[in-house]
Amino acid sequence: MIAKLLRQISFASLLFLIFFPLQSRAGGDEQLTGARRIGLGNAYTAVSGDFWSMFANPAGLAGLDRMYAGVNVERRFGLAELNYGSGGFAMPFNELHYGGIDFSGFGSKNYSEARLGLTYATSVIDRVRMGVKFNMTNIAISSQNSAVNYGSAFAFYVNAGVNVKLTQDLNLGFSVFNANAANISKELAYKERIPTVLSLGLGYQASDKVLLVADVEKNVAYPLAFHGGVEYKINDFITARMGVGTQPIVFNAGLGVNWRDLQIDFAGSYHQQLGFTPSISGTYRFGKSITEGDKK
Amino acid sequence: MNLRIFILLFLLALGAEISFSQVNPGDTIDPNIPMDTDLNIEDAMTDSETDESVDWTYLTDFLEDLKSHPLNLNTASREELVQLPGMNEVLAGNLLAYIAEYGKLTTEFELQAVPGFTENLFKKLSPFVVVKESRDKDINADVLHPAGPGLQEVKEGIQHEFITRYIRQLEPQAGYEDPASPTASHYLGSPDKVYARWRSRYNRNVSLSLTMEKDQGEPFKWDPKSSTYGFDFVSGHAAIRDYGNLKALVIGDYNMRVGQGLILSNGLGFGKGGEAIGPIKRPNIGVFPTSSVNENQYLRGAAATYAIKKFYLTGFFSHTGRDANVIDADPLDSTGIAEIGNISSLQTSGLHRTEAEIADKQSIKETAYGGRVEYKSNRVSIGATHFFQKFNSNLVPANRIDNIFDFRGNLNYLSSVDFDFTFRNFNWFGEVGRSKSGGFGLTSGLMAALSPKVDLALSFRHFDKDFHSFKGYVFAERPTALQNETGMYTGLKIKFNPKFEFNAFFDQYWFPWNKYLVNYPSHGFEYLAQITYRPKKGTEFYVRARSDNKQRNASEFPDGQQLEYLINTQKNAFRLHFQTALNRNLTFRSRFEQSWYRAGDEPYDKGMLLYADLVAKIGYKFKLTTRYAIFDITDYNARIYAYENDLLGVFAFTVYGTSGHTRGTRYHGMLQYSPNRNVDLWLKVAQWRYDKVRSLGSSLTEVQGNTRTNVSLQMRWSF
Repeated sequence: MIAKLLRQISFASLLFLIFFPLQSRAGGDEQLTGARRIGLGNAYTAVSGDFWSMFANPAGLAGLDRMYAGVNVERRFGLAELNYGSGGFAMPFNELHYGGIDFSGFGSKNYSEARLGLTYATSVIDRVRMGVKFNMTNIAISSQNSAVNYGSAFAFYVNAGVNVKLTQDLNLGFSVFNANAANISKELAYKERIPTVLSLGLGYQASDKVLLVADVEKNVAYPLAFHGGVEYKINDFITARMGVGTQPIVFNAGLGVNWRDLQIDFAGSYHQQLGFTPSISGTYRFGKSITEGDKK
Repeated sequence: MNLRIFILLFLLALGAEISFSQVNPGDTIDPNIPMDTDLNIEDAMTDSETDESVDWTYLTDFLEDLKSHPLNLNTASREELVQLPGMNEVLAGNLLAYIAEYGKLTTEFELQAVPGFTENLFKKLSPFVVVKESRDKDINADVLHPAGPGLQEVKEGIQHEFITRYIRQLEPQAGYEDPASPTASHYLGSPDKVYARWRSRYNRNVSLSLTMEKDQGEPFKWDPKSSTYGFDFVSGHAAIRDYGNLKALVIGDYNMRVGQGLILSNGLGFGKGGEAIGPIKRPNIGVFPTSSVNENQYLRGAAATYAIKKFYLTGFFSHTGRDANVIDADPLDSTGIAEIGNISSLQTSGLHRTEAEIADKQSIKETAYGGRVEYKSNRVSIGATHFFQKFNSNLVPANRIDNIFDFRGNLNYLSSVDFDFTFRNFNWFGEVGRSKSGGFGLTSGLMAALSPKVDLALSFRHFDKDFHSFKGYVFAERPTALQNETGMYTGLKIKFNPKFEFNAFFDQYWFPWNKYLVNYPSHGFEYLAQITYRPKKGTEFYVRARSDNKQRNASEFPDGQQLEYLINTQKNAFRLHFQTALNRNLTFRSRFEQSWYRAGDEPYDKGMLLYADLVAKIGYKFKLTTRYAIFDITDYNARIYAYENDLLGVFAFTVYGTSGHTRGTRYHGMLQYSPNRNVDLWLKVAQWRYDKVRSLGSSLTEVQGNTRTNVSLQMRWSF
């Protein structure tokens, strides 16, 4: 039913059309979350041991040292209708097993997406981290004319990924988004597939201050994209980042401020046609540190 | 270590190979150096939107100065240090800090104790530097501006050099035949290209020079009306530099390069390429005498720079002719404003072969004058520049939508402020300027040595659509047209270990207004990635991929017809390059390059180039350089540039695929003979052989047959 309605001209579908080829794509598509990730040009597949990894490559959740909670908000291209927010909680069960729960919400009352995710990651194999994430997403479309409601649809999809420590400095990441090729709607007439996205990334820790990351990403619906970023730890408190990406062409920059157990990250992304997207995230570490079992 | 700020210096080492192996036949040259330079010159060429040849005389001269008079590291200023090959602001700062803390260096080897000075860098520097005890013990004004050499010293130490060169294409071109009718266009001169230069120098301090050139087809005559005095182009200067507080005084032909080159530059510098960091910065050289044969880029008159402690004051004046087609040469122009008729554009070919070209020669006058104040200290420099530029004719481009913001009239003036700060491992620099129109231009860059292995470059530029800078040349997508562009460049260099190096850049740019053949605002991006592997000294292998993506009109309709949309164009290139020193006397180089170009959904145009070079030193007196190249290029858009060894002072790029579908071979052999320390002789023969063509070129340049052969001869006599 949703699918049929989508074809009608409404504010929501217009929004879709605008939105389609850009920063994010079709309904239910991968959302770029976390100001650190944005600051790094969205090249996050090979980042590991990080709370925000569960939004990119679930394997990266393995290696967390403590409990984490975080929230992220951004306003795409400065438009209120394209607000995006997410948050979650993650913790190590022990030094081999890790879990997380997260949610995200996108859009406004005319078009909105809500998603809930559960992540499990493990480092049972030496130098290899693996993770899987289960997502439930709900998409709702209502007309600008609030008298009409186009209804909503539900989908379930799975992300999975691995992270391999090739050398002391070099990390390889691979992840797949929507591995089960889920559709937004089960209507036979029009299957709106949630795009499947494969990412392959490299992370190079050039020194304790410098991290370099690069990804290639293939979304079934779009040409191959490249992302790359640099992170530079100016001192213990401040970290600077920048990144670039193709499909679409963006230039990103970010700043991280680390104060005790709290980390605040800011990022901006500049799109050649659509302009500026600001984002901010806050991450809080708490609980006791687990023993170093996964430092290999 | 390799944040190379003085971009041009990549060339130095190349020059070293070409020139100094002749001067001192016994010298061994580090074979690593010319490779860098080769590829960077090629990049400079590939990136310029025009195919105009760039004159590198300044670099050859600079190199010779350095090589014959190495820089004393103990007394060198920061500015001098950054001009050394492989150096940059950060390294220069480290060295100065080291000397300030631990005292003067005692040997060159002590350099390796200075942070950032690696063995590789040391190897690069060593031909150009010495470590000597300074006469002055304290840091004071005398050290800052030591008095120059006395007259006697100059008389005894002055060096003279005479170079003469002759180049001719053997196959006759149509333009040299007797014209069908007396009025038909034809070349008035002979097909010989003749060049001669006399120069006398004492170190950097004194320079006297006279250069004369006649291009192929130009007549040899005495005709003051067209500013022709025998040779078609005559240039000279008398200059002194670094005489106490008088930093420079030039009478005659000179150039200026200030700040980041936003308003004043000599149009030389690298663009985007296989070295991702260095090119974003333009060296701030100030006034320097020129003996080049670039017929458009010089200033003629007088200029001086005087230092008062750390403040440098510069004034300059220039009055010279420029080539232009005067539309209406009636001196009683109805407006009464201009002395002579309007012109639609300035001409830059520098060729004056036919009646029409000679009529345009120096047909208008340009007067330029201005001044600059600069403050320089070890880690900070700040400058302000202002200058006027006036023509005695109105520049009135034909009215088109894409050029409505272009310069019109006869007077332009520009002001700019530039800065250069070094802080720890960061170097931040830039320049912001404004032209008479009110349009602004801005360029700013940051180079950061993030870790010993990672260098990062960021560069931003913005030029208003009505910013007018005729003499500007900065790091941009269109470095010669600093107008209507905004761009952001990111470069990264990773030295994984001494053997592996990675360079990459990503550049995105916007043109907020129309351009020629682009009838809407447009945008584009370009990227490059290169991995270099040096398994041992003298051997280098690199792989490079590059892609440039732009927009242009969907197709070229006749004039006046409305164009409807833009399409994307893409040019990709892939290159494999290999070079190895087989032994002390024999070097082998080879390259494969493939290019693809497409506009919209049209089929790809493809280009392919494969060449092999052999460079052999034969005894101490001979050096033979050869190349054999084969190419197959389906369209000009897929053309490939390759650097080619040439006579000393000639930096040659060969363009493979100059028109239509071309394929064939090109080969050359060049012999250098140095019978003694004072004399060097060169002979080069190069030939194009095209497949399946009956004639080459068109109209006046047409040649019957499928070959083109060039013979060059050169002699240098120095004493």
